[in-house]
Amino acid sequence: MSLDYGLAETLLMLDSAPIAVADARGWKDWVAQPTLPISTVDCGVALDPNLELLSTLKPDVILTTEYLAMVEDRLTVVAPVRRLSIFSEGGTPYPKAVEAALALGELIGDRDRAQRYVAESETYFDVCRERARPFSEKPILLLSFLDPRHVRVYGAPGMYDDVLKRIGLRNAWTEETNYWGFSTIGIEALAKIGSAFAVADHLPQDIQAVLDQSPLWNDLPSVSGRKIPVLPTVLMFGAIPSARRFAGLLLDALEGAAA
Amino acid sequence: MISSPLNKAHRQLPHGPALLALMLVIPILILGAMLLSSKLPMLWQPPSAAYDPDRMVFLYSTLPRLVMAVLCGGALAASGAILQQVLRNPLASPTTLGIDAGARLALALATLFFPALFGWGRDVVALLGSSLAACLVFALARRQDFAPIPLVLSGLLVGLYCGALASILALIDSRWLASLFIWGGGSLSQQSWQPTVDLSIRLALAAPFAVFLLRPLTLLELGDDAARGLGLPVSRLRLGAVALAVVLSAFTVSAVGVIGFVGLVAPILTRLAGARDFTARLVWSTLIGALLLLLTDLLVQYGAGASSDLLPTGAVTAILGSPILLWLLPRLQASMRPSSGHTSGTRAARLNNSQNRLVMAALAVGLLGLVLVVLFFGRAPDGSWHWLAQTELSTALPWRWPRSLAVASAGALLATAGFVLQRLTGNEMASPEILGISAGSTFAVAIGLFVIGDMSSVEAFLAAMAGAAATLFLVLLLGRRAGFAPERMLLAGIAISALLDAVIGMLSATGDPRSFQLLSWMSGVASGVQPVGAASAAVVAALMLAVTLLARRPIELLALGAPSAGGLGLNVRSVHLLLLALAAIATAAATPLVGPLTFAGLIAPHLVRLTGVRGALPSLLGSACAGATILLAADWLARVCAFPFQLPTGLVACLVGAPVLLWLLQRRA
Repeated sequence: MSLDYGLAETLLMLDSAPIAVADARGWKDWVAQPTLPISTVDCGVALDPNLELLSTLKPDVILTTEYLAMVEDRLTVVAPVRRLSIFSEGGTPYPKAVEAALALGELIGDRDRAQRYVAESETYFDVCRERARPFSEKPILLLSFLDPRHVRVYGAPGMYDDVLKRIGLRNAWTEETNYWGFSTIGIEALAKIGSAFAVADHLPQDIQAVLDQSPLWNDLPSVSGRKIPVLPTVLMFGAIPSARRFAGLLLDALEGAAA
Repeated sequence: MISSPLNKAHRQLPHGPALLALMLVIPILILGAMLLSSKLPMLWQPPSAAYDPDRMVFLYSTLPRLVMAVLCGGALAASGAILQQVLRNPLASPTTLGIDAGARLALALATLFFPALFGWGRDVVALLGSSLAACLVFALARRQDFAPIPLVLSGLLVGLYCGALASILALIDSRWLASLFIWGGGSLSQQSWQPTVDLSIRLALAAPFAVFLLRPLTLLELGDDAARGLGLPVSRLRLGAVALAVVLSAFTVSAVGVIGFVGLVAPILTRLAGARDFTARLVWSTLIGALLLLLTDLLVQYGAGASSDLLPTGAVTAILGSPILLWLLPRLQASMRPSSGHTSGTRAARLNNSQNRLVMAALAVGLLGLVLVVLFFGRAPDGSWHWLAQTELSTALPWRWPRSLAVASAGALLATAGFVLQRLTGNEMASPEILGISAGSTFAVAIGLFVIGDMSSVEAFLAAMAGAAATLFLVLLLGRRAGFAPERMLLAGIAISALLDAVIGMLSATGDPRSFQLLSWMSGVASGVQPVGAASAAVVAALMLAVTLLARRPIELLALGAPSAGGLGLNVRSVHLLLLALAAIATAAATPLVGPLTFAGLIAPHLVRLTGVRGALPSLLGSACAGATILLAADWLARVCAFPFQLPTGLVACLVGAPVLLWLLQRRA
């Protein structure tokens, strides 16, 4: 049973689906791939899980992260709690996601399976690296639009940044972010970035409409009047599966824009 | 006493306002020169063909931002000056009327359920929310002729309610509501002239009305009766003036988000600097407000120069403004009217003793029945409704009884606190939330989350207690000078709540996921309470109830008014202190269980009064019973409504309580 999406998706890739996931109903809006089995029980909000329901499921172990520290006390009454943090102070997320995958492998009694998955992911990224070679000139600018005046920009240390580095691309945002891998900034702060390829993972219609009217936005060298590509749903705070999905989707967008 | 609460200050600073403005202009010029001198030539130089980021940022971000700061500061300060005049309350500000909370709720609802609405522009959605909140406040205060205190308290409650709902929405569907945090922090960041132009047009349309109101509002200083004698339609005037203030601040809020404190501090500073009549106060407040926000924003831009992480100006204003406010508080004579005008009504028929007992018995039976439902009826793991079977008792009950006991105790605690506060202030709208204790707890937990990082629930509980104690100390310290006069204490509480909210807003504006942990904590942790915790909550509740029962004689004497009670040999000052401490401790004990927001403390005593029960003893017991009932019912609904999701109990209690409250207020005719 997992209270965290990232750990849950890793379990899915190890063919050991969790019996319950927190906020399972939000899975398709956040994670999309890999899909969650229909039999997975939804046990409520991660920060306030339904304990009565959990106790009837009799889970072997409950997976949490540092983010959920406040609920761990009450969970221990139900089942042993195992904390595997991917997003935490110090280091970058991808190596921690690898560690978490190996730890989960141990937990399900199939360490080999986990090691194979990690190795397979490395191969996948090597292939991505080849695909990314034509685009290595221009740095990549990853944005999430919050409202017409502010964006989240993804940087280091962060999962997206780790992926960019791994597949040989440069991140256009070079300033340090929080340990979740993003900074919240006003759009004007993007002006100092020179030529770059901007991609968004979230851009509501009304914001696009306002941006179209903005001289500052349209003059940004990373935008220069074109509509920026928007990635399909991908979990920005996930583990290895989301990192792989992101790499694939980003390359699709790059190739789509070049075509 | 009402017209010039700051007489002393007047004499000290004869040319005050101009001097004050000058004092603000100098640092603005220095900072402005440091920031802009190298860029000004760009205004007249022809643009080069190549892309020039400095030029673009200067023309389309820096300049509109500075103009925006001036417009917003001026509009908010004017709004505050009008409100302080018309509500006769030096602590009134646009925030007091729930305007930003209404806009916030509208934005949250639109983001989640009606994104198509944003087609009109986000500012229009925010404006719509503000107007609806203001209408609600007016509707609540209508029966009392828009008298100042009911207006302030209605505004405060509407604000709390909308704010709570918006937070809960953010909690349940957190994905893109991070934008709400930015909006709540009041960022002035601009990328085009459009918002600035829009706001200028709107403000220009509203400004002439302020000129019309100048004279009649000045006359209002003579007091309601004198003004009426001069032929002024006092209540209509008050409504019109408040509406104008609402419009001014709603325009601003919809354009840039919440910017607190300018609307509060600028008019106060102007008064302290010695602007005597209302015209002077309005004009100087507007100017000083504009300068204050401009200065703050220049500081923010200067400070943010190195890092590009978002520093929302609104929240920074609040943080810079807070020491000023706390320093000013003791200097302000809260010129409130005596509250006797709207003490407890006597619409329901008085009951005799045996009828009293009957009502109490009915309440007790109702509570018992509810306990049975709450414990044994609910949703099965597959989501179907069912009564617990014999075999399930041992698996389900250990989860249900501790949380039920905990919320029921919290309900009784809040109701006791509400009862004490309402008796103490003679004010029907007094509720535990506005003592500021809950905000203090929340604040301490926020600090803990950002400093410690991974915080266990025990640490969170300790932090909450420390926060509550510190706030209590602060409130009492501020209230000491006023002899613990209840109205003053509530004002101090309101001020502290607003201040802490602003700091929390600042912490969360960067979109840090820790702000969701905080929100989650705010929605109450009753669901995770262990048997020991629940039992201790029950013991505390019983203890508080017992102490209040012991104090029922002084409480009844206080109802006669402080002078008469003093004449009967009551030490009014120490009774005030004791009762305030009692209410604060009860609130502090309940807050970690159900979060800082429930209406139980406000509503329970009203419900009991409506049944006709009189006398301190039955009213108190009845209130505690009713409070427990409300929260128990709310907690059950919270568990079963959205199964398997558990809604925050405090929010559901608000949803249950709000219609009751509205109905109660409409009955007062």
